[in-house]
Amino acid sequence: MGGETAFEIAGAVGSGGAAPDHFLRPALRRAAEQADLHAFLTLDPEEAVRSEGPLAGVPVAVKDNLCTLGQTTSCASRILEGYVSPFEATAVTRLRRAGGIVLGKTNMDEFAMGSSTENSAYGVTRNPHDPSRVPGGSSGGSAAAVAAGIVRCALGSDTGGSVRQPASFCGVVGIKPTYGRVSRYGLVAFASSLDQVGAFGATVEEAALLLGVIAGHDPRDATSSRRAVPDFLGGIAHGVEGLRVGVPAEYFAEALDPAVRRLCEDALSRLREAGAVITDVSLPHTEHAVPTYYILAPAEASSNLARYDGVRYGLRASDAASAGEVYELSRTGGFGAEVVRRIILGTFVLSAGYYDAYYGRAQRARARIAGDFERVWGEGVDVLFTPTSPTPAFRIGERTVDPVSMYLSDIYTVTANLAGIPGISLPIGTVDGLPVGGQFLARRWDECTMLRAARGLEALLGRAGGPAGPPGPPGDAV
Amino acid sequence: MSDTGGRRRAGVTEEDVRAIVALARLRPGEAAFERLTVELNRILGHVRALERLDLSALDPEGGTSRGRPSSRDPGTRPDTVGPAAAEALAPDWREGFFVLPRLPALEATRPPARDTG
Repeated sequence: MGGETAFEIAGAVGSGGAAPDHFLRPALRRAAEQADLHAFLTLDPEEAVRSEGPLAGVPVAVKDNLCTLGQTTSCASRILEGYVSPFEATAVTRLRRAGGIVLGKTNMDEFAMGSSTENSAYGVTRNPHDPSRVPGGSSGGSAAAVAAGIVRCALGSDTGGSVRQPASFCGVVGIKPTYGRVSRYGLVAFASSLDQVGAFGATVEEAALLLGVIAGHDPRDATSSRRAVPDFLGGIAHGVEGLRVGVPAEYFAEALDPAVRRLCEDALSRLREAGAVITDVSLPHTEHAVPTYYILAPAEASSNLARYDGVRYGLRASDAASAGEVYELSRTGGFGAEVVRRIILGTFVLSAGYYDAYYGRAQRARARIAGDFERVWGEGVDVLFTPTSPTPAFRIGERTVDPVSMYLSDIYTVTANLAGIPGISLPIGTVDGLPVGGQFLARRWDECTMLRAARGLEALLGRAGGPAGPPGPPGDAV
Repeated sequence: MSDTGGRRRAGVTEEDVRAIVALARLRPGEAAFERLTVELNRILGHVRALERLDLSALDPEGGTSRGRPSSRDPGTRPDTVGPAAAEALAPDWREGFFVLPRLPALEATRPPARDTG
């Protein structure tokens, strides 16, 4: 991005030193030069651009499950091909009001169901650090766009790690806010008790900047909180001295790649040297998180996706002989394999005779998982530090045969969604040239402490494993 | 799917998958059922790890719900029970159609009633 951070772009535009669209054309050029990554489904920047606000003139990529006026919103699904929403997501509206420019809509796993962006109906997105590997998912296009230097900030959504895991794979920063911090109005629903809009940034401060813009109560979303939004940037540079950092033993078990473990241990050593207090803790129900998530999320998805019937949205089967056939043929033709798999799984666990054994049991397990975190916070821990994913980015096609192996990619991220707490992934180093992310988790509504810890570690590590893209020499934004 | 003493366990047959697929309003090709059965059993085998968890001290919905939702026989659907039963389920029913309440926002744009006198 010509070397300019989002702060520098907004400063230049806000002061009148650059036109509001000054940084748009270079961003479009970079996107075109790196079209092989397939980070974007549509590149369609707008119209009128504001010259005021914290994101004045900043191009931002938006995941294609956030509704935008005037641009298609497909959720990377055939069933919504060509769909243009008559309303806009609150997060997108706030981004525009802050002066941000929606550069385009990014690729994703269909309806956000996946961990690799291989489930898109429109082709896989490639990892900018190694195009033979996945960028993670489901917000893989947004992560890749930041990692490639096309944009400094992007919006995604995180239902089980869909912002943090691709941030880890692509060497960028990704925030999943507290459930209720950001309005979900206009976010196409996948699993409503878990979904949150999240923010990507090239640095912790840029991700925090974007989060501050989109956060806050929205009367259109009953689950959005009325709590005042703190200044996420206010104390972000206060360092880690005195912070109590918990290290949950269950996140450093056998499944963790030894090289990822070493990077996490190095990061903890840096934090300790800088004055943080490192404490071993236990979250004993962690092993049950993936099974719990893969009951609850498909159950909610099977209900949320019942609305796609060929009548109201997108694809409609042309050869149906009855209303029932319209539903069945449209859905079957419009949904991809992973979405069908999860709808069937969700329908099964909600069906009469199995509800208590699966859904009811998973609800209770969720309460146990959330209780683990509450107990740790009660012990005086400020934040937890964990790996974001057990491994660096895997090869395209490596895990598509076995859905369970793909689901286990989420083992360190789904707990935050189940507990409703905030999480952030930031680069902590590389393994064979591939970025590795570390994750901080915090109490509900305490994003400030989480961001302070992440910014502190980022400074200590000197942005190891950061964006791969060729931003070009400073000042090329012409 | 076998039922062992009131708590049914996984072990999903192709016949079960066909029933679930119909409930989900899907119609995959014949060749897909064998694969879907294998995949569903593999996933259920993984999630059944939750059976090891002692949850007896928690209320049935983990404190996250006001109560267990009502359920119906999977074979009973509003579109399969016939007009009489559908009418019985409807809050308001007229001449074979559900009567929907008008949205207040639309009342202002409602055309004036025609004088048929």
